[in-house]
Amino acid sequence: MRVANKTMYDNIRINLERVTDEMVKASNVVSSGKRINKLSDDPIGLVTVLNLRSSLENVQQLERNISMGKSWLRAGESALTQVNGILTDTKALCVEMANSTKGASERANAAVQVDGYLRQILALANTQVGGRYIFSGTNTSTAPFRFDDENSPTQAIYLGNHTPFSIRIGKGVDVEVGRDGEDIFGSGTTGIFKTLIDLKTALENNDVSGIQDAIGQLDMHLDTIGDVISDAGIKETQLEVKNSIIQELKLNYQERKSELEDADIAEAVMDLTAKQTAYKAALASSAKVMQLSLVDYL
Amino acid sequence: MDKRNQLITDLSEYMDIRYYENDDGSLTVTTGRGYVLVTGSDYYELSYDDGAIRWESSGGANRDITDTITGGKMGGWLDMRDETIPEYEADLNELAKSLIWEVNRVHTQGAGTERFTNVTGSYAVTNSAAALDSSGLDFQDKIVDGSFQIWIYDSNGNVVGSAVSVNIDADVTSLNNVVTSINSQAGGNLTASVNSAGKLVIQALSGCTFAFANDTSGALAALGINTFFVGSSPTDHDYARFIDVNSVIEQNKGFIAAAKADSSTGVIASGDNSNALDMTDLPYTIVDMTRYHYERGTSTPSQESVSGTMEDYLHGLVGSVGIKSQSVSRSREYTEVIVNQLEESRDNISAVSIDEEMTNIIKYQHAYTAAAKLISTGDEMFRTLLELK
Repeated sequence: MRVANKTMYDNIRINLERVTDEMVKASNVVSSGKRINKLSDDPIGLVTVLNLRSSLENVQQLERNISMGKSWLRAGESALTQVNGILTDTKALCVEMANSTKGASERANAAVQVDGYLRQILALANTQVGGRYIFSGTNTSTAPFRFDDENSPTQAIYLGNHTPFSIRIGKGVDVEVGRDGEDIFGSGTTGIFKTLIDLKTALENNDVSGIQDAIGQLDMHLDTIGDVISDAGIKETQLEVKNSIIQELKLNYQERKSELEDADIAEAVMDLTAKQTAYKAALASSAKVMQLSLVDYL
Repeated sequence: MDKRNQLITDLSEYMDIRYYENDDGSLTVTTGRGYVLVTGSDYYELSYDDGAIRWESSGGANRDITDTITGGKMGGWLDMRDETIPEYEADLNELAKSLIWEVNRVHTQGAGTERFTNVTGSYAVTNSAAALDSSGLDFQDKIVDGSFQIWIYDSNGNVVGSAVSVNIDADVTSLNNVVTSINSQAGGNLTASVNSAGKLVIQALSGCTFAFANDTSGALAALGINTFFVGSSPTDHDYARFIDVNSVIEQNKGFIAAAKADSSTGVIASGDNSNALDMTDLPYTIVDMTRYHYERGTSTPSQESVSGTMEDYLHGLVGSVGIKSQSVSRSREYTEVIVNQLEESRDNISAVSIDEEMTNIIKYQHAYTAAAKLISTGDEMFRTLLELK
């Protein structure tokens, strides 16, 4: 067949262009480490990757929510455990002071001690995490409790609201990690504060029956606090379980994303080497063929 | 001849043309659809005017032939301009529009840590006396029958009275009615008005502040009050261009409505995240959206309704760009092969092979030598003959 010189040169150019293009693509895969570098490389795969990316982001947000929730629950649990300890001490003090061998001056001393306990519990009820009050419901910027009279309180006033602060740990799943403080500590004429205030008054007045009343009240409060602590424990476990599910999901998403998106480096390097060899061969043969002409032999 | 062929080749790179040779050897060139460009020594010019390619006939009349050009670079450019780009533009716009509306719809239900002292809507009505669903608001067709509340707080942040409750009957209530309703219930603590641009303005008096709640009508989102996004569209395609965060929020993050005012007391708790939690459901919300398909030569795009999350819509859009780009590069590769093949066949006949030409030269040289040899032999013979005495 008759082959024009132009055809030969055109073919050489086209082939070199093609091989260069393939080599550049292979080199892109190696240098970026990604199999998909452009939308058109694998549109279907890319859409799956995008879905996985947003699922990953979603999961990471849930992870942050859970970590915040855990710190709230732990802070609450530790505050309540301390309150529990104080109430137990108070009860022991009551039992001791209810004894008829104790005199008015000993009871007056005990009253001072109870006043100290009262203030400790107030401080614990106003526990903050990251500048937010955890026993305030959603009214997290306001300290939930204060005494009506700072020096000689007759009752505590609740300033929070009744909607516990909650976090989202999954689609449509919210967990209450804050507390309605009034539920736990009470306010006004009922609750832990009132019991301690009454106890203090009874001790000051050397009123044995008042002290005995306080023991019954304290038992009730200890039950309430115990329930809340165990509830916090249950919620913490719930968050832990959710967290481990999320970790697995995250790993799973990352793996699938990597499978779709990332290049197998060994394979990519082999591919690049093969393309380089092909390019060199094409260059060498083209250079040789282009030199040949009948003119040289005449 | 060669020069003429080259010009034809050049022209066909730009658009689809047909040509044939006349009896007298002159050429007639027409467009793919038969508009004559050159015939003999006559020619008809193409011109470009206001987005259209025009063909000028001998009478001076001209004709829009834009949509008849399908091939060549110009066909490609026109496809890009009139089909591909408008389609993606319309789809992106649809996404921006849905994003604005859906986010604002949730956002207007809530209240931030800051309360308003005055607020101006971001969407304008063209007629403040017309019913809201035909008042010229960007999202007028999204307004439904319902109501919204405004809670008023005194300078200490305590709720004043009960909520101002504005009832909306989408095809009856006008913006003027809304203004009257607010002013009559607010007890002198708020004044509402419509400004010269047609936007709702609410102003608190005597140190009061206010917040919004419980909008079942969509009127607040449509009026652009207490919204997260702004973005108006003078023509139908500008939501993607003008979408922006409401400047009220840009200036003060306290207006991000993460909380909700209590529906019975109006109290807003500082740590309330109930509206933010509602907002997190938005990625899963199924939204009715439209996908557009443009075809050159038809004035309105065909529309396809799709239901899905906004994310699905975006991923669908990205995927379709990828598939289109993939198929274009495949068909380009294919076409290139065909073109090369055809060029090769043509060149194998018409182009020069140096080897062949050199061989020919040698061949003719030899023939010439042989012929010359004949002459010199003849000459010798004559000389011999003439020397005979």
